[in-house]
Amino acid sequence: MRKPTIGLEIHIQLLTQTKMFCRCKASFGDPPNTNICPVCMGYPGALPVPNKRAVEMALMLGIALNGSIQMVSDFSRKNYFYPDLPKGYQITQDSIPIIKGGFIAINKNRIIELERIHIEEDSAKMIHETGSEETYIDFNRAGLPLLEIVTLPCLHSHEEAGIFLEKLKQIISYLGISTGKMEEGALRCDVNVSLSKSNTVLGQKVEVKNLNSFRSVMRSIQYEILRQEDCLNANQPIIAETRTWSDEESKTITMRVKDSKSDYRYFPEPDLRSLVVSDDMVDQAKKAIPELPQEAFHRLITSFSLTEYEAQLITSAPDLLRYFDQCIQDFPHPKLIFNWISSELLKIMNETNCSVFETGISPKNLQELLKLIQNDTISGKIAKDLLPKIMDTGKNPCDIVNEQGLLQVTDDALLKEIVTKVLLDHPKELERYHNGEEKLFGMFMGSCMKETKGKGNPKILNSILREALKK
Amino acid sequence: MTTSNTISSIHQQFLSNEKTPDFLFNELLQSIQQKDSSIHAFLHVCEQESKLTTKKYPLPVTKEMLDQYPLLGIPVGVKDNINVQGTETTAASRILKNHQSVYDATVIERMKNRGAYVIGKTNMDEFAMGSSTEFSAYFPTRNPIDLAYTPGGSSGGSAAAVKAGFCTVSLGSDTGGSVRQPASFCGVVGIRPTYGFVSRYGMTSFCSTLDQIGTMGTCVNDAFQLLKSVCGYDEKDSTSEKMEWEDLPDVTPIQSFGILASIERLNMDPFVKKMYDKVVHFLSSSYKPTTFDLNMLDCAMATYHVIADSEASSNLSRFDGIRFGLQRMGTSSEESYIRARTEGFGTEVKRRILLGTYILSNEFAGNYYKQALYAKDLVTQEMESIFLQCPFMIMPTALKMPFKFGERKDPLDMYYSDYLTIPSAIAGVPSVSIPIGMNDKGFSAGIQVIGPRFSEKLLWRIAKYIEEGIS
Repeated sequence: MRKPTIGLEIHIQLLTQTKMFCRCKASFGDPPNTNICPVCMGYPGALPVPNKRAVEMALMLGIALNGSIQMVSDFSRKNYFYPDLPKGYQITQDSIPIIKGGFIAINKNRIIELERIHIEEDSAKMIHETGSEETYIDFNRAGLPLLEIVTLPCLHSHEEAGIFLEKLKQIISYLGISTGKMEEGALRCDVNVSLSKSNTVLGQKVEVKNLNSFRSVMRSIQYEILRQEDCLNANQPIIAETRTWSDEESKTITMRVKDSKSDYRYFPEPDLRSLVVSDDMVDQAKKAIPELPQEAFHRLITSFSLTEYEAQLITSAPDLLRYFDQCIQDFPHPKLIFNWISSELLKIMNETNCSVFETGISPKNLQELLKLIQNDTISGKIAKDLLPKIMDTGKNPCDIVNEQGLLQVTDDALLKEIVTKVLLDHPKELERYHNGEEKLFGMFMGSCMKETKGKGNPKILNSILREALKK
Repeated sequence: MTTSNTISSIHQQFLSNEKTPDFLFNELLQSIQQKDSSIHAFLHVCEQESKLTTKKYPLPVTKEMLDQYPLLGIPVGVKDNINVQGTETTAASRILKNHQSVYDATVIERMKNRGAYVIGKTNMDEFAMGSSTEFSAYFPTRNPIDLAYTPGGSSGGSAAAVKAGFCTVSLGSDTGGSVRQPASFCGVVGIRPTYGFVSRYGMTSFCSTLDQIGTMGTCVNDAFQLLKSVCGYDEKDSTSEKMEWEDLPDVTPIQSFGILASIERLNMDPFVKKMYDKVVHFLSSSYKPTTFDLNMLDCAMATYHVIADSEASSNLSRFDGIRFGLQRMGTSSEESYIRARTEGFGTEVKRRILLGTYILSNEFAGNYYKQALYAKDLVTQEMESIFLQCPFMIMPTALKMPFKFGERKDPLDMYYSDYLTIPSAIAGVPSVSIPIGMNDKGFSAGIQVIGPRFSEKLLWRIAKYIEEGIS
């Protein structure tokens, strides 16, 4: 078996207010060609002015991924003709990127090293209408700020690539610099795969593009490894080419063979000065970095004794962590909160396709609800039933409980009455119980609860029932 | 130098009610209609816009108004590579035929804010590539002094329009001498300011590293008045310097001036030599002449062409016939580009795009361009070292007197027209060309006063001193 080597090139779209080199609105989903100006349309005489916020975001990511910040980096032009490229060149960074190096730890013993992170501008979006010969171009996307993250060729399996991407996406969303939504093109990933028997000399690499999910990234790597292995076993050479992934056919297909023709004629962008980063900007970027997933993971384990699994789940998305942290404020019941988030809230989130803060159940309301359970005001079952009401009305759970008379029944006399009634209603079962069929206790308990419409305090009810059955 | 046609004399006429701005415009329009059919200084006369603007000035014109609007009622000829909203901006190229500007260049915005108006768009060599205005895609401009001669170039239309009295002052662009050389050919004053002192925003880029917008007038004061109105920092141009006219260093007492030691070796026209000696002699009565060597002079020319053609090949990539300008649909996007660009660009432009593309190609890995930038630094350093010894220097603008149409057929001959204007362009320092004397054909020789970066106030003083002392 030959050893596969994989390198990734990831583009992320930055969540800035405006585009990279002009002040057009940067947004997703606006009507075509509404956020355009002479600069991003490449009109004669228009000149680029860099977006400071995008630079700050690049610094944040660079710091978060342990890269080395280049205090002076350059902008370059990558020249080629394509209808989606208004100026006939893309402004990018070539010889000196803003960030060199860096890494992401994908587990305790393995880090994936980065070659660089650089800033560039996005191209326009080509729209091919099905059944039509025409191609349309939407320039809203032209000039949006991108960060390109390039790994060293140091990954060796599709699983590693998958974990790397998950980790990267997690960090990006913690930093709040991109949605990282692959389906919206906010995160794009190209892969390079090669096979080699040697540890020092890499084999001929093949590039795969047009991957629109983490799953297709992983599947295409898996496929490429097998395909290249087959080729080499059959003594066929690996061709230097760009392939595209087809989800329907579950395979990669030749897109274009690389030849010496592609010559981007890079040279320093003469309309811009070198990108100079001040110490002040670096400090600000450092301050702007929130607690990162790895740190939060450890905090949850040490401060709240969550298990690794639990901490992993809560830190999987920044808003989930924020939600958890808000719930636990002045209410130190981590396990209870975790259980409710991991079962009830995740269920609602999946059903409604909402983020945790969009469910309509504010951390404060969840906390109130859990407090009601804690102090025996309502049962867990009633609490679950209450969730949709809280979601719909946004009301405080206490108020809903009061309004709807859902207070737990803790009145001994009343509960005794109910128990007596239930036992009278089930003479046969009572006899069987007394003859040793003790599992019937559950049935009695259930019937009693039903009589109280779920409002009976289970603990008190339990002891009264036991007392009554002794007789 | 005519005195009836200067800004101050026009303003006197406004104040004494001898003329109103719209009367002046009508006079000029008449003159243009009579004479421009033979001179062809304008590609487009802004008749309607100018009529409306000049009618709107409040009357009578007062001293206070002139203090507030130092260019009030002054008609400006604008080179056709500078965008003026709502008018055609073609850069004298077929590829931009009928292209309507959607915005005002910063210089246009500023001169309008000072009370001036655009009377017309002036002819030029296509995309400012040339030294005779013969390479306009539409028609050549003729020298108003003698129609058999070229007006120089590339801002030939701007120089001819001022000389012919069609406008008071004009805007041109100077990449390697394109303001100063035609100014010298047409016997007017032309300024190339310090690189970064006038915003390039809105000027169709030819060579971003060297392009500067410059001004022309019949006298030193007028050219500087216009420069003073349009200069200063512009946030829309990342290469513009944070410098305002008021921030320029004040003129300090001068002891010496610089002259080129090797000037005798150059193949200079006898009349140019005579006028140059005259200026040196005149200045020597007040200041001590200091000779210096400009070792980089020969290499400046090559440096210029490598940088200019490389950048031009990239800057002109945006003319692809997709978003604006000449459109020629082919069966593929590649074919559409080829058709639009083959038909749209003239021979000289194609020659430079080809050269520039070749220079930047993989074959040299950008080394030619890098080497040229390095040579640019050397030229700059050498000039800076000269300015440490003497505050300004004197040089002819062109080695030769104006030439007739078709006289310079070899492109290399044409390129040599800029031999003495290129060094200051490469060093990014300001230079003023003033007309000296008059030969039997009516032509003056242009003499340049060159100073260190941001020495515009000094250059104004010296140029005025020469103008008053010698004309």
